[in-house]
Amino acid sequence: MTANGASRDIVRLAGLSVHYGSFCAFRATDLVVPHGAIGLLGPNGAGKSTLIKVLLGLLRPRDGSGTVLGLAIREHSSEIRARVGYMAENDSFVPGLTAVQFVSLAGELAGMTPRDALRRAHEVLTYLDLEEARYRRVEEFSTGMKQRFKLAQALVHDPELLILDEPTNGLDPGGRRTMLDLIRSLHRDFGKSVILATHLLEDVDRVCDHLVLLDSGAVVAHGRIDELREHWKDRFRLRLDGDPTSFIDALGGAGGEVISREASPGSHVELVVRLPEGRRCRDVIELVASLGDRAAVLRSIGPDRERLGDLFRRIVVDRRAPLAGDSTGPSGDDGGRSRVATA
Amino acid sequence: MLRPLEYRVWSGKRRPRALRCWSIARTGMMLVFRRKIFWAFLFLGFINFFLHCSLVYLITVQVKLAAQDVPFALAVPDRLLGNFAETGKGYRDFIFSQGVVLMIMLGFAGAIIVGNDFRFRATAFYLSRPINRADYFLGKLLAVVGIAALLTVIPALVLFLEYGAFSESFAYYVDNVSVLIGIVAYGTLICVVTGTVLLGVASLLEKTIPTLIVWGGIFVFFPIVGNTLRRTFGERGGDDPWWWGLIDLWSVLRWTANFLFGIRVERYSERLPWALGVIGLWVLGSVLVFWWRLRRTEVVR
Repeated sequence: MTANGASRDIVRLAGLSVHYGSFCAFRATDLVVPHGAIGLLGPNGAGKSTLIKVLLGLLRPRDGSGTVLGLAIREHSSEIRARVGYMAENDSFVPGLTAVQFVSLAGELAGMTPRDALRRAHEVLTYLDLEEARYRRVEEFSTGMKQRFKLAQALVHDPELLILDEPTNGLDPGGRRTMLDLIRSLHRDFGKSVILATHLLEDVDRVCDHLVLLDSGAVVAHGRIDELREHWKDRFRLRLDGDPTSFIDALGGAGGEVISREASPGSHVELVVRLPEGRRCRDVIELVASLGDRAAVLRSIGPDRERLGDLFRRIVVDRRAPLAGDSTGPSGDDGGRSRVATA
Repeated sequence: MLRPLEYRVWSGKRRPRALRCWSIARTGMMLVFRRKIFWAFLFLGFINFFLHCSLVYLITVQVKLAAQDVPFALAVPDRLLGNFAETGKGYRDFIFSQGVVLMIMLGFAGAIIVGNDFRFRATAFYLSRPINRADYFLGKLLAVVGIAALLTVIPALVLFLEYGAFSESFAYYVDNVSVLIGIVAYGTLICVVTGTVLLGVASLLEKTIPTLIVWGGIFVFFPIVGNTLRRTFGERGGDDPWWWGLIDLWSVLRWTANFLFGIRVERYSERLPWALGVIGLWVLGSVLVFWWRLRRTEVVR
């Protein structure tokens, strides 16, 4: 961030590359990530961990330069970590410490006085609904508590940027929803920038407004999710109740086509259709109405928006297809529970 | 109705990075002294200290009475009389005699302070904070040094203060500044060297039992081997093969003590460069092992 606050970019990388020996693990010609909630997506080995290490100042790039929160990665790695909260994917606890002692230690290591750190530890644990467990040892926590606790130790020093590595790992649906709500609230209500590295596309969809897509150690796409999605003027998503066969036949006769068909809970069917050029949403409604009793009941209709799974597949998997199927993409058609598959 | 606590911002002032080492050290010491067995070890170490306290008291009384030509029933042997006043040998021997308890205590503490960090990936937590590897090393070393100092240099300093307090005047403190320097220097050397070696061993072996075995090997098995070899080769005639003693780190540390206390013993003066070399190798090796283990920590996996 500049001194006058004109720019709120949290990350700027220019011509940056990281090598392990002769192997190039990550390269970014020009990456600018604005303040916001950013999803970091990519298959295994795409360079997510390497990028996080670079952002935390733990790995020195061989070439290029970069800043995090306006601080140069090469020169100010420690200052960067003082202003960034990192929640690790794997458990890394000091055995024997209670939750409040551990979070307080995290605060002290970030530069807080012991008194401030202890008070803040109590506040953050209470905020994250771990008030009752403050004096319990961390290793005794359930998975859900551990995840919230890891968020607490990342939050204790009130960082400007949170880097969360798989924060919903191992959580049940309820715990997952709570965690995502917390993250979203931290961003929307308290102005924290969040970088969310995850395999779960739905998590990104629910929390993030920006996306950084990585593949084979390179940034293959980045920007606002809405801008990255393809917007089709001729594609619509319909929800029908009953047998859609007569509608599909009539649509074919009118020059349209069904792109996908999914069975929804109950007797509903969800169709994605493409209309001939010049036809609009109203034409579909009229087509259903013209079928009379033979047609299924139209429950809803709207423009088709590209799902995150499809976006991922379009950008990453299709790009890798010539490499003889060394990766499979997320289906995107499984109710959003898609995972970025292992390469 | 009570509302749940909202997130609150924090806008305090950050402390300098050097002070963060102290947080690491304090946490390490807290984890050790949470266990009752360490209080038992500390008590054992203090038994020797209390004996020395009594001895210092008796010596000061005897010195005072002797100056007035008053006979003293509980006469302290003459050879001990000068040990605490002129040469500082008494303090050197006290620190040396604390070795057994100190080594047992450090052997157990190694896994708690350092080994568990590597075993349970706490190192990843530390290194993801705004500290670097050197800060982490110093913090952990400070924790071990703190525990070692509780049994060695601090009681020795208390004995020094006690001697001066029971003397006729405060001239004791002025006349024996070199002894004070010797206590601090020897105590610090012992604490730092054993602490560094412990960090190396515990970071490599992680668990308590393997750490204890290797630790015992360094401070029990090596001295036995060294003495046996020295005796065996000494019996064949010729010069005393003292260099076998270089295997025994604890004895090597004692050789340097004479130099630090200003005690001139010809044979130890010859050995001093060798002793310093051996100590340097132990420290360097231990730091390298610790560094190697720390570098292998993957903060982000």
